[in-house]
Amino acid sequence: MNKKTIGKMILLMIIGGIVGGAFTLGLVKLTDRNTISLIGEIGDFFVDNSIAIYIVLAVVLFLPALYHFQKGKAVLISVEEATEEDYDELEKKGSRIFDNVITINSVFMVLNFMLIGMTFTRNKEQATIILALFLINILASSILEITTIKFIQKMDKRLKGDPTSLKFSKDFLGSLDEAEQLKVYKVGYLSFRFSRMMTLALIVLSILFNFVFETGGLSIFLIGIMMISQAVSYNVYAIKNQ
Amino acid sequence: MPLYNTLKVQRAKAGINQGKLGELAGVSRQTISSIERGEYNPSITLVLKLAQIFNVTVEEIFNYKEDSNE
Repeated sequence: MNKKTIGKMILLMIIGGIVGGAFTLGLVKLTDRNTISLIGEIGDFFVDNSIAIYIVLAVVLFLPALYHFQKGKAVLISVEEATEEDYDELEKKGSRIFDNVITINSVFMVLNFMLIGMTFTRNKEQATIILALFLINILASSILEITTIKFIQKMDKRLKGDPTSLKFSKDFLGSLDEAEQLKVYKVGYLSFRFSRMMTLALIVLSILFNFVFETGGLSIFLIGIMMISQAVSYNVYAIKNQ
Repeated sequence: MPLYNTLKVQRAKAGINQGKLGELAGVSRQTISSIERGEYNPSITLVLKLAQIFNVTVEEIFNYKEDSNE
């Protein structure tokens, strides 16, 4: 490591320290303004309105995903009758729509899990309804995901893999051609890099929140485990592919 | 990318569409389209497969030219 690199590293550490310090001071100032109670109120809002939130989630996320699925289906079906010139454009449009369906549906599923985790034990009176709504949402989301994958496979017979099987990712990836696999690897790597940055930011945020609001160490522990698993799994796959 | 190809011409000569060529080469129609547009450089295996399908040499389909501004 040369002097320039060491200097740059020290400078970045100082900047990080200043930003972190300023952020913590800002948070401490916020606590003076009874922000802790506001955070508590936000938490209570989720608990008190969990039934409505489940319904809102379904209307705002699941229904649009379903609408996009129908739209994507129509686009991909129209590809079969298109000329070679229009083919590329229509196919790109179709796959963009299906990518959106899968993404919106995944967000819907994760938010449902977050909501039940945050509210279930704190809202004992409505626990049965909450559980029922959660199960309905998760079931609908799973069915949409499986239906989307099966439709894509129906349109492109090369694509293999049973979406209900644990081997799905492996089988699906194996059925892609070299250009498609390259795209998956590129996207996967970029996504991996982004999630590393995100987990780093989240662990710093969790530490600061724990210092200021005493939110507990569990989130720090879980994000830490996530970061370790990212680093170790990357290394394991790198060794396997040598 | 300084890799140029005459895949579209070869395909027109053989009278086959992108979908059929993809089927013969074991790749998707989109991959054939990407190669034709110069957006994807195929592997040696795929290049040889394509040459075999059209019964021509690899050089008749693909040629490498350094860009003048490089």
